[in-house]
Amino acid sequence: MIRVAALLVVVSLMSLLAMLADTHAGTAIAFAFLGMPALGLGMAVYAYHIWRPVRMTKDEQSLYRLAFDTLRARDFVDLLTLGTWEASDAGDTLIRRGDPGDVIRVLLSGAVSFRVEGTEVGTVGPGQLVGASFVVEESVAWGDGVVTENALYFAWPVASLRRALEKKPALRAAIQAIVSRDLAEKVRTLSQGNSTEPS
Amino acid sequence: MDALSPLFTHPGDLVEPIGGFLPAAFAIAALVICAIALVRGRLRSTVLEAGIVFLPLVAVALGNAVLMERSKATDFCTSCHVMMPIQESAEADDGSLASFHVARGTVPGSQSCYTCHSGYGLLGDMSAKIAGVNHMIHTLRASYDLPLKLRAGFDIDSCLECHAETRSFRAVDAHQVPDIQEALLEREMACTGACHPPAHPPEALMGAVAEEGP
Repeated sequence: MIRVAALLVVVSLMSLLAMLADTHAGTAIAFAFLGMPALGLGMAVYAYHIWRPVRMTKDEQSLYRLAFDTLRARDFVDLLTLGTWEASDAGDTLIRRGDPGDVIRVLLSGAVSFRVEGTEVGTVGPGQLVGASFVVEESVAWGDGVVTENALYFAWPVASLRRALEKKPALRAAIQAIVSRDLAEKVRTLSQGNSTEPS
Repeated sequence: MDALSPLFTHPGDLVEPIGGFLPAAFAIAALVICAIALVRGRLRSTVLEAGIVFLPLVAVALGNAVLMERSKATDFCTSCHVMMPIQESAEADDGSLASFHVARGTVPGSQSCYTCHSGYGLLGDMSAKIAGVNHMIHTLRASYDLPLKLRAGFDIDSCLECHAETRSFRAVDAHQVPDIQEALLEREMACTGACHPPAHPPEALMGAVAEEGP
């Protein structure tokens, strides 16, 4: 949509420059009846791009409320374009110890239990992140994540997420705040005696 | 004497070239930003707003001001083929009222059409511009009727603006008759027709055929 708006503005400005270079009836007609409407249309397209209503599915709305309500809805919808919804059944292994940290997931429903050498160290539930530390630094998983209840989650490739956040410092700060909040909650749960995901 | 010698060349408007430069500068800056947006598909929002909204708005506003001024030029009016016979008549000193004024320099040669056809005061200028837009629409649609004629009577304020306070105008017996004065002011009669020759000869109102290409 930005390209369409830019193209219309280019048409408008080209007609203006033609009129300025050689003003006669033809160029004046082109400027008045083509250039100015093109400019108006280009600005309208751009305005729609800025102010178009944000639409989310029910699952996306739930996920937004659970974990991302500190973001602007439009930024969240833009982030969704980088990832996909996935589902796993109980018993599936979501992540293994030593796997590269190239995907970050956030649960909408279900539960994932994390184990280190067979010992359960914590569980992750709706609204919580799997692989939160991968956003902070390049690392590998140091535990196994096994789905204990059928899980629906949203998965982002870490590389795509990092590239998108590099261009939007404010959004990057907001995502880092969400990651920090998730990690802090897990540390608090761990210190209260409940095990947590070793990420 | 050489008609193209510097003495006979209109000095031109020193302000106008600068006026044309300003909108062009804004337009080129906006074009650069739009070209980058076309290639990359995205830009910082502040840069994008400058390139798609603010700079083009300023450029077009200034461009409109330049066009308003340049459209007063005789060259602009006569750039339409339908006006060419009128221009030739005015320059030929053929006895018509328009050629009489142009030949004696009583209207500026560079704005001879606008001087007589723009009416009086700011509203006169505005109505002339609106009429100009209508002319462009007719040109686009090739929908003008020949011979050309005014939709309403000629606005004699264009004549009175220069003549009303001159001694020679006031000395004419016919101009002192109250009934004639009232008829003129009520637009029941015009300066041309009954007393003065037509502004343009009838043969000049038949338009001209556009030159055919090779």
